Amino acid sequence: MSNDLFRALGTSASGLQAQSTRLRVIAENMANADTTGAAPGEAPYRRKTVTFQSVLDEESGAERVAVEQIAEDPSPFREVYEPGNPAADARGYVLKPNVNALVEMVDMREASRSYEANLKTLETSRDMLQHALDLLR
Amino acid sequence: MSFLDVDFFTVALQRMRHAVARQQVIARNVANADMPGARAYDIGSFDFARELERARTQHDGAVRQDPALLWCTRPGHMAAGDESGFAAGPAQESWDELPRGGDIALEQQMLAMTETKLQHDSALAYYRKAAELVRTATSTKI
Repeated sequence: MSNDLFRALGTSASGLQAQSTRLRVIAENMANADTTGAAPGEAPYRRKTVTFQSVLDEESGAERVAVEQIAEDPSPFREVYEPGNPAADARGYVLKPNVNALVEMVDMREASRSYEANLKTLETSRDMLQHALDLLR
Repeated sequence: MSFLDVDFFTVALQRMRHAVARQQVIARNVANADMPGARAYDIGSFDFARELERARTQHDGAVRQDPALLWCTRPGHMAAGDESGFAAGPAQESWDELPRGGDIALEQQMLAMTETKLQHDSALAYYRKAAELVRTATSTKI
């Protein structure tokens, strides 16, 4: 019986880890939202995305969630007219990263909400285990 | 006969097992909530009559008639099938159909979790009271 609770703890922990990886990638995207190339024609920072996958942990039999891969977003870069920028091309345009702050913020809220939900599940499983152990008192 | 073989202990334990199995399914749902196309799973509600019947059934399938006298089993025998005996299946109804194809609503899972915890704790309190009762009965102090 407690084995099942340990499995639940493991599943929640894997969810926490997956969501924190997602938050890390969002932070990378936000931090690099204005990172252009150093010279004309050089590509700026490319937005990264995280994909999840479901993994069966053979040892415990618990279904866990894990980061499948951190891929690059293939959408086109923004072009901004900034003739004074060292990375500007002959027409005066600079390639800016394909990061949209609004999309990142929404993604961040979702990741943080999922993180909280996993944390709450973990706490509840832990309480149930703790209360069962309290029978010994 | 062991004191703990009495029906109310067995059913209380079974109820805790049910809550724990459900908690595991909820943990799985919450962890997978952001996966595109992930469907919610759940475990059927606790059926008291069925569990009482199961508590009285011996491992060879014979139903124990008198719980106090005829309960005899070999501890080495394990029950067949799933360890807990509660199988998870797709959830009956979901509050939400998400745009990326899944139907795991976090709010619903939180509610199910609260419900599960309450059931677990009440079964635990019941078990504790029953144990106190046995302790009082076997106590030499009057």
